[in-house]
Amino acid sequence: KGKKKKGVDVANPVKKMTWTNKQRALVFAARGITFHARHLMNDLKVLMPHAKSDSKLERKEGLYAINEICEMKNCNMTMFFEMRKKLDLFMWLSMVPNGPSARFLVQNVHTMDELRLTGNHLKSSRPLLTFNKAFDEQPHLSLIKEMLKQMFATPNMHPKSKPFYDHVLGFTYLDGRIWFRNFQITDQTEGSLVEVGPRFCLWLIKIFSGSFSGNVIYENPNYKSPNQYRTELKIAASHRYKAKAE
Amino acid sequence: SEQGIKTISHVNNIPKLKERLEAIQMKLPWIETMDVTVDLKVPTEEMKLVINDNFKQEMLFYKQSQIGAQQSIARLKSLGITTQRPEDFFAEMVKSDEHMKRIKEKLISKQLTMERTE
Repeated sequence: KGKKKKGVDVANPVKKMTWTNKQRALVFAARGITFHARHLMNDLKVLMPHAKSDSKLERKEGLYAINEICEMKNCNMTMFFEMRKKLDLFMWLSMVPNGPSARFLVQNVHTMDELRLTGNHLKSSRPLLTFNKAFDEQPHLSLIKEMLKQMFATPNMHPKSKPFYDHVLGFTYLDGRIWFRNFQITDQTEGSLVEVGPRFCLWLIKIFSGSFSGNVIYENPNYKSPNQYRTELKIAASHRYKAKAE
Repeated sequence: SEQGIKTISHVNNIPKLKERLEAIQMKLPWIETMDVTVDLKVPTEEMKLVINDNFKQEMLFYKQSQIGAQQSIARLKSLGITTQRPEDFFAEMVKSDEHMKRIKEKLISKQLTMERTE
């Protein structure tokens, strides 16, 4: 008892760190996404050295096929994009093969290509992650936080990563949505930041117990589908017209 | 109208959500994820103003990342990890030199138009 001291190696006083956390994320999309959505996806892939890609999923294959694709690619999680009407972008986050999985509507997208975001950082340096306190206040948000954390954190000593820390990802739960920001750390001592991009905002729709399967375990009561939103706008506009005509 | 009468019950299965969280959590050292939770302590009244003001909202995001980054950098340093990239270390950046040049040109042209209007 007590003979082996934890973490102390006489021959190697500084424990050599190795790549032990072999998390891999498959980042890909269904056929039919626009170039803007594809650019966002590629930006995210650039931020995730542990990401793998695959060819676009055919519509007829069905979402459940994603689990098999992940297994073939040795990925234990996936970020999957699909688009409806070439207009509304949806994102799935899923832990393969046992779930959970979550579906979001992606809004307010700005890619790295835009010229007003002036920051820049090393390709494949590991990001620092920040979350606001609101994520810890509701069970479904805690679950989403854990999924985002595993998805975006680059494993330590990942062969494709670089050992410097020059950017920070911010996830903020505000006004019922999750806001994503990526900043370059320009001065470590003062902690000044410059935004690099991309920017987007996730509106949670549902959480499923399995990976693209299983029961719904959370449903956002405030979520309004883009179709519903557009219909309501049209109705409101017609009311305005009617009021004018009378 | 029938609005207000309709009641839709939305699923929020808290025991199941907690169970799923426990199932996926990994007991990894902090260095694997480098995550920080920042409590910005914004009063509820002020929060309403933030939501309706894009600039205030961006400031909030900035502040969160700033505080979080400082905490993480300090923690990395305490673990004896070099955080800063040496001056002579060159490697590929997320934005190409050409892209950065275009950003610079745009900034300059913006400044020029500002000066002209003054």
